[in-house]
Amino acid sequence: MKMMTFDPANFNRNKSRALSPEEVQEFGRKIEAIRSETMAKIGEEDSRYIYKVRNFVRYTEIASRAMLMFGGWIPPVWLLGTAMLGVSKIVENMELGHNVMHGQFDWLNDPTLNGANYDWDTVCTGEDWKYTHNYMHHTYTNVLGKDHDIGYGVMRMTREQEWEPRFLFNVPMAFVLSTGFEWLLALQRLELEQVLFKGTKTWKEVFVQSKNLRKKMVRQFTKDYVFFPLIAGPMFLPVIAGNFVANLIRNYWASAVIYCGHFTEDAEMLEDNTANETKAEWYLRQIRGSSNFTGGKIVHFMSGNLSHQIEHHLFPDVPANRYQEMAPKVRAVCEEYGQNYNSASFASQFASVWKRLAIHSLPDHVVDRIAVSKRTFGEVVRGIFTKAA
Amino acid sequence: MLQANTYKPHWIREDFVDFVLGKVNPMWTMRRTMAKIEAIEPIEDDMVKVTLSTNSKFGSYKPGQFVMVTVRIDGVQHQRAYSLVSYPGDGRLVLGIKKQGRVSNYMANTARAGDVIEITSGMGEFMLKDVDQPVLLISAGSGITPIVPLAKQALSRSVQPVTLIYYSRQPAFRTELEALAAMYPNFKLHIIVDSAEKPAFFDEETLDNLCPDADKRQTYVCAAPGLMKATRNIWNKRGWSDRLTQESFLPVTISADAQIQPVNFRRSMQEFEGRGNLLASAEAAGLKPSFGCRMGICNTCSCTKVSGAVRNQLTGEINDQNNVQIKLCVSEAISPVEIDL
Repeated sequence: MKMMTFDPANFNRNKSRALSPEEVQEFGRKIEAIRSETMAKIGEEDSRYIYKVRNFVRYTEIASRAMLMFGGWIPPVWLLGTAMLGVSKIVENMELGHNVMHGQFDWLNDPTLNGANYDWDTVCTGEDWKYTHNYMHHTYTNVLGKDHDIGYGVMRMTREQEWEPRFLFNVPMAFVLSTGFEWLLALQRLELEQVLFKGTKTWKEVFVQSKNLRKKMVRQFTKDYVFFPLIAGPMFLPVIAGNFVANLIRNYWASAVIYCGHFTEDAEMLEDNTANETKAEWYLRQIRGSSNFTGGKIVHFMSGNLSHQIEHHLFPDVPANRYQEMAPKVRAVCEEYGQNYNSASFASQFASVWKRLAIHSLPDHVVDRIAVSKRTFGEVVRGIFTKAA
Repeated sequence: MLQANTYKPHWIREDFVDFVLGKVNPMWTMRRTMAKIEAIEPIEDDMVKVTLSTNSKFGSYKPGQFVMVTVRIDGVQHQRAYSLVSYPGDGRLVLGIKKQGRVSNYMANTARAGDVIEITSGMGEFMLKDVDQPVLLISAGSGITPIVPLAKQALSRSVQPVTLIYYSRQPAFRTELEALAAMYPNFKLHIIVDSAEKPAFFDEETLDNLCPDADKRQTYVCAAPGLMKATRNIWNKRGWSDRLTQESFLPVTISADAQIQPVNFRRSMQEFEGRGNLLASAEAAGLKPSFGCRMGICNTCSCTKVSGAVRNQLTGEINDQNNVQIKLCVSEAISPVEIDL
């Protein structure tokens, strides 16, 4: 078996210790044991949970759309209705849709909550998502050149990606992507940067490939911006505005959660070793490429438990409501083997995402010079103080 | 990408509509067939007789067909096929359910009159052939359920002789059958009551005694595997196999001599050893794919096989194409297989 070597030069930061092949296998077995222990408990409790989540989505959608439709001209009602619709969409996309589409609840044998059938309330088709996300992103997590989620082809996340002038717009680009996040996810499979920047694909190919997506786009657009506003009659404007803002709220929050999961400073970008990778090595890669954020029950619920991105990447098919109880066990195994368990508050993870984006927007030599001058500046200041003392 | 040409985003989620309608009346749905339990009565042979009324979504059925019944037990949906004892046009549906499995026990012990459950329209191929010939029916135990309407149909459609050989320790639906025998002189009813201590076996001698002209008849068998095998052997040996129709009501079992093949569930990133039946192998590896009838009928466990070859355990057919739908519950891997689950 090939020794698992992590060359620190490949990573922006690497806080984990290199493990011997035996240690890697032991580590894998311990992670596997956590999975089995949890899977054995899956049953009625999880069933009740996911049906409750679905009812939450249904009731909040009914209530919020009704508020916008019948009381949309009253500002506080509009605000409440819009916010609630945003929440409803967030929970539908994350705690319900994302998790169901991973097949986490296939065992319910309920066709309406089956990963293969489910199509969520966002522009991206379920089918495309299962390819770009479930397959590509989860299999090749943070592998350069394979995982399109690394910067989505338009942002530079690591020194391994060659700098180009377009990356100067890393930070505004990330903001633009957040604003239209559902459209980013929808278009991801088309890899439009290949047409726009690389010339390796034609618009015609995109047109053919996007057949289903175009249907779904029409559906989503018509639903929120034609159907519901029209049936609201005189409430046309408040409804259309409410739907627009609700989609925005969902886009900003969903993108923030995803950025915090893989773009934090300590989330490592890795070289492609997937051809001869063992399951245990795969587990290690998932941990090194993911980051968690802490928070209360509401934060976990609203993030579809993707606040536990590490656990989600280790166990993508385990019902997400179990990640909270699995997290301390995973953390303990990581600590035992000196692996960095990347977890911090939402605020600090989110800040580190933007710092990382800013740093990599500049050519490396510029960043190095700034770092040196910062250090020199620090030394000068320190020098003054030592002299004064 | 299989559904590339058929993809149609829903304008409104069906389960949402059903949820809202269900708040008004649990029998109201957009498309699903629902049935209200009118009565559950214990009958002979550890069986219960379940009477159902359906909503307007119920299509129709033919004598000999079954419906799939779906119930939620401990938070998980389970599905089982039950033959219809009732006759088309009776109004109500009648199921004869033997207490021998999870769904059956639920129906016998937990379900109550007034409950609403999901069912399907009539399914299955166990029906009388469209030929005017004498009929021989053979059944044992709870295998009698589809035979009752088959006998009625055979008797009502022609004056050809009909013979029923029915093995049971405590014969269920005896009254119905005896009433038929009283009404139709061309109906020969042989109920053979045996016991655990003195089990009766079907053999060539029994056949020749009870139905000497079996070679001229269309024969229909619904019974446990032993009697199914015995009849198949006799009919094969005598060269009558084109006149034999069988209905099995037990799930596919795991063959012990199967080769081990690596199976990969691509989306859940789980690799396991497939030995014989894929569904059972996945479950043995601690995975929980969706399943329904476990006998290749309901499609609940259908999934896309990305690559590799599988054998259909019911038909023996080998499928080695990429990106095709297979049913886990009746498939066995005969090469390394990758599945989109």
